Amino acid sequence: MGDRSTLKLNKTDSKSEAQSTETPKKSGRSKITAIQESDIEEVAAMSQIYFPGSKNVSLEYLIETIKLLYFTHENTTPEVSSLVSRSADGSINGFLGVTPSSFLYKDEKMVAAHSHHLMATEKGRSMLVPMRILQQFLSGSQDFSFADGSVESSKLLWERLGGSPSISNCIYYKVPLRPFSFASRMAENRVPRIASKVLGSFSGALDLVAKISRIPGFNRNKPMVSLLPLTPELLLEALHLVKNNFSVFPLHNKLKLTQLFHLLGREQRYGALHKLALVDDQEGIVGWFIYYAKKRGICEVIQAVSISGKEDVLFDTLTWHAFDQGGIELSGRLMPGHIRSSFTSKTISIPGRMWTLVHSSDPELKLEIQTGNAFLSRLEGDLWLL
Amino acid sequence: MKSKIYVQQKISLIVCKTLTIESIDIEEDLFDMGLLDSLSLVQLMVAIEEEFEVTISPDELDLEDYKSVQAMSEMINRAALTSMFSDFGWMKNG
Repeated sequence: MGDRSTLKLNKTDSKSEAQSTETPKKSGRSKITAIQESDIEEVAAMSQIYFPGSKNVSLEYLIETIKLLYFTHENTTPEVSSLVSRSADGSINGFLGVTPSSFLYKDEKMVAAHSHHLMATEKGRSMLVPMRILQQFLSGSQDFSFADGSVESSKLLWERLGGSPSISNCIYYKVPLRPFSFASRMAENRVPRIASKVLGSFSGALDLVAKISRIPGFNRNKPMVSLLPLTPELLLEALHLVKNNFSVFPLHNKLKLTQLFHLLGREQRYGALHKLALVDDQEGIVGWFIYYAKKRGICEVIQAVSISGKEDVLFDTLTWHAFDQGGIELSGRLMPGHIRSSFTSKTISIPGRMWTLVHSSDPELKLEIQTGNAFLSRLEGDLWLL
Repeated sequence: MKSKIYVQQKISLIVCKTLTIESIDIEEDLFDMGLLDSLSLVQLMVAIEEEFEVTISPDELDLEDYKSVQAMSEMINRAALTSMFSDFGWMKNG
């Protein structure tokens, strides 16, 4: 064989078979089907085994979250559904959470499928359940698929199945809000335990002294914009202001945003939820942010967006607010439009900490996403889902 | 086109190296033996593609083609035939 050739088998029409989630696909050793309400408890119990974050909440909480996400959510559709894999004895040996959503691309409505929480039992792994379940998901009827916050192993599987990382959505940032405490936290696992304890107890005091002394970087000034509670109605209005900056844009409505806010609000693991709009006296809404704040901990940004030219105002307001809540560190994912702003110049950038993965049979659409022209934030990401 | 035996031997070597096993029967079912997981399968796919200079299109990927050395060797032979026919088509058109 001289030149590298591409294998085209034409054995069976495997794609059309894989697309159906109504009819279970029998892949020899396990069956993959759309999730049913009767699967919820088993999936929740699996999540507690395979996702460390799920161990911190009760089984009842997880069951309720799964119900809300996959059975009562505004975007739930029978065509694009979460998938479960069953072994011959009927027990679930794998799961992939899928939440569909609508996007606008070239004035046309697109269906996007966001996948998350790929998990398989030990036995399921040896039956290639992760690969099979992803293969079935990616051959679904959606216009494009994406995964947020993915680890290296998921990236390998996606790439093998025709997906690829969207580098412009893979840059994370950290802002040390209280630098001594931040440094102490970073050193926690690198220095002996006693030294770490001593550092920990002194760092808070040092930060306070530095703040009172008004040393730059240790204090944050109150911004000149007003802050309003971000309601679904206000967010819809704000989204409209930035819509033209993106070629692929999510289609939200009041009900969907109300449900998303409800899901975010019931999540307690990441601290208190803050969602505020920045309003300028002259210009009206100039941006907004949604984040979780943990006192003496990490503030995780879900979404922080501004109109063009107001990126630094957004950054200053967000960091001031998070500082005011007692946060030590602000952590988030860079929006492509924020590359040349304080979000990169005043932060520690971490490219590829986690991967945003994209798959589409339309190469042009895929390229639009990969080049940062899609509005993709962590609002529908899996940080807080299960 | 390489001989069937040659392809089988090469694939056996790749399987043993990837899965860190000493030997493998060409008909042994790797799935039933529980030797493979999704990530080692990806490693195996990459190694086979590099060795035989083929690329398996994601749309055509059938995991059953990787269940045994024999199945993998049949897949590679099909790829070789595809390659030969496409070369022939090129010559005819050229």
